[in-house]
Amino acid sequence: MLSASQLATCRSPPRGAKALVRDFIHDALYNPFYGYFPQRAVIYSAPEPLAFAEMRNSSEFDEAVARIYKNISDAKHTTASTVGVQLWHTPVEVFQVCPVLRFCGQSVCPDDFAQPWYGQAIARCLASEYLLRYFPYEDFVVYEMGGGNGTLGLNILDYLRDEYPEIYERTTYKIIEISHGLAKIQQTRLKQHSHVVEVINKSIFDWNDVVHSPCFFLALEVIVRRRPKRDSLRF
Amino acid sequence: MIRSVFNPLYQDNFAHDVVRYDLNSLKAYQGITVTSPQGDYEEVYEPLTDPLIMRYMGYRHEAGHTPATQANSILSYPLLQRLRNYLPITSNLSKAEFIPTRLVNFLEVLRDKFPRHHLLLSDFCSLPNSISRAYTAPVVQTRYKGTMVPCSTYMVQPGYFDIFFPTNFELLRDMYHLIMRPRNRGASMASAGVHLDPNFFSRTWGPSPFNDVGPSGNRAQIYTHREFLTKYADLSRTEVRSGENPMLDYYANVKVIF
Repeated sequence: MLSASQLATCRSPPRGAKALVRDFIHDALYNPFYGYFPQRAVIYSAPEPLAFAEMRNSSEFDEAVARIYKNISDAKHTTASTVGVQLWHTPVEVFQVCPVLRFCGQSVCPDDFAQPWYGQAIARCLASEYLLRYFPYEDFVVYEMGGGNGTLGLNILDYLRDEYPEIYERTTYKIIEISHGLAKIQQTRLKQHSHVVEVINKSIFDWNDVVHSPCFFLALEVIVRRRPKRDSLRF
Repeated sequence: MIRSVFNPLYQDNFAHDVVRYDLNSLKAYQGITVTSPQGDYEEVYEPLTDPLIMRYMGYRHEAGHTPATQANSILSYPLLQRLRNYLPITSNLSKAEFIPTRLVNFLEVLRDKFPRHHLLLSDFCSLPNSISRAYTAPVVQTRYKGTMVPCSTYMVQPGYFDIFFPTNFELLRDMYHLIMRPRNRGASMASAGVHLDPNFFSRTWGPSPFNDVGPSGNRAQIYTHREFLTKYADLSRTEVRSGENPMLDYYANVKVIF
């Protein structure tokens, strides 16, 4: 019987082998050589700000999101890959949107593009808990597991810097990232916050040190995979 | 501008194990995936020996949750169960049940390595198009020519398919409190060589932040995606002209625990 760590060293799916179901599934998803995530998944940010206040209703919103999906799947880099490429769309990305200028009537507002409604909600949640329990006796320490392309971290830190400078000044934001490639992207994306950000390139399951300080631990399955409305086809 | 990122790895897609129960003795059997030399897949069951599955079973039992296979099947009706034994061709094992063993593993890491953490976790609480004939079954899907194709088994060519599970948040919350309860925390610190007054973690020991269930001193609470955002988001920013709010409406099958 092969364990998860033995499977992780296989360069192609082993044959004539046995594994516990969780190890089989974990390997299918994460094996560095043939796993689904290292090989096929694509994540992206919304290419354009979504103008909520200009949309009539939620079906118009659906159409806008569907258009983004179509553009993405038509893009060269995904068609170049083969079967199995998966597109992900996260609420963090969708709701990092332009609030639309209700007042000046423009639909594009670059200054507001980084206004991240979903990430802000999380920031507000953490900030209120921190102020209630720990401020000013303890620092504000956040661990994010699997930081994606760094959008959530950016959204949270921007918000704290602007709205809660007294918290921002005591913030340490650590991303625990298993993927080497993503860890690099996060570092670049969070450059302007580099004095408070640390990207730790390892799996949570290999974590050694005990963190004795109070901290917030984010495990957000923010990955929303849009499924087509009609899917009847099954293998 | 489209920013796209290849090779993302998300650790929070926690793999599950599969168990089935003997219909007479209710003994659990663990699922094993066998790949033949030709590359065919088969799921076989053997008596439970895996320590992580056993810990999960222990936590679930202690949390007072019944296995889905027993709560929903003829196992809860002894007479039906006996009658079933007289039927000619029936399996002696219950329907399969997927169980979140990696999640338990994760919670144990939190307990041992982040003893004063405050967890914020969100995930799917239910999923359409999951694979058939099992409890807590995952969605297995791939993209083929621009269309998402769901499959009926997880035993498919590794690497071509996304596999993800719904989370039972009530069970997660109850197991979380069990795993984080002070007794376990004391044990883990003792094993790390830290020695404390035996009453340090008990409710009688002075003003302690550990007076309640979670390590952060409060009970973890479950929110729907909508409840969470109603509490913390600035909803005016994501409203469309009809008054609908896509940010609230979109992720109806997502929950948050905090």
